[in-house]
Amino acid sequence: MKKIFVLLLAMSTVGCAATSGTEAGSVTLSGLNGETVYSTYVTANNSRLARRIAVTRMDKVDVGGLLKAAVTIQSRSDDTEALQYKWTWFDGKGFEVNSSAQPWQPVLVYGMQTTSIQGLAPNPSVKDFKLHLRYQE
Amino acid sequence: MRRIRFEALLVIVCFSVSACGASRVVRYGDAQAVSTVSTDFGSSDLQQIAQAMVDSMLTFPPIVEETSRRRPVVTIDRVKNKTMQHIDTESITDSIRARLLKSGKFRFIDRTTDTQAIDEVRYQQESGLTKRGGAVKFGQQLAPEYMVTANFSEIEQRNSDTKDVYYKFTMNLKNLSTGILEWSDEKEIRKTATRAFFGE
Repeated sequence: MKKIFVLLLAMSTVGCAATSGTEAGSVTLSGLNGETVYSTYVTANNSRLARRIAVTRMDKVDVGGLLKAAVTIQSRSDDTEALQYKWTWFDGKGFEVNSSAQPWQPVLVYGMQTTSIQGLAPNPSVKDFKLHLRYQE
Repeated sequence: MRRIRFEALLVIVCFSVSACGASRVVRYGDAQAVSTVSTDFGSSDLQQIAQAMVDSMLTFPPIVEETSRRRPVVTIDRVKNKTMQHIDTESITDSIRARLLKSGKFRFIDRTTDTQAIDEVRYQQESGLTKRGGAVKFGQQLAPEYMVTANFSEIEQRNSDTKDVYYKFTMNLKNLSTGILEWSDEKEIRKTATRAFFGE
């Protein structure tokens, strides 16, 4: 009987998965001599995800006036991780661009796999990016 | 006594669990969230397709070169729906067109509103309300140089426990004067539903 109670209690708490994840992005700054300086950052808000998925590289390149961003992630787990990602784009003044039209997209990362997530800015005003990565809900 | 107390607690837990499932609660959700309600074509699939097609077209080197100097005029055809599902394919082309327009790389001719446009031009010319010489004339529209065409197909496989649906969306950009396909790409999506007692 007690086992059933424990099972029911466990079932009632299933589904309360955290929706936080990892954020990786770039920031364009002005240097002391007025030159343009690019800086990248990674923020981990979910310890399980941070232990299992590492951001190993970030690149950005101009393609016909549109910013193309690539974030390379590496699995440190033997399991297949069902993740989802979303891009946020920023103009030169740090304002979000076209924020409502960026969908979460599913991505499967197999055990120990390295994969690159790529995105194209919605318009030429974009200078910086942020990639949001989290577990599928 | 102790057993009665334990069983009462069990009944309360059961009620609380069943109440969560039975009551109807309406909330606003995230329109951009990944939807995994069923293997049918859904909002996430539409968003994935639109994003993948637009990103591919805008980064294809000949297209990058063509759009670096000017904004070509394009028309978009309805998607040929070869799936077994009823899908609002115009919604897919609307999303693709909106993203391409917002990139600032293309201009579009919208054939779906031609009837309304003709009525408006005729009204301007015939009603007498428009300033003389200010009415829009017929025969001034730009002709599209390119046409976007698309096919959407699915392959479904199932057994007693699993349903597997493979979607393939193919999009082409055709040069209307030369007939050459300037760009083409595919987006594949696989969705699998398995029967499970507990949720995955």
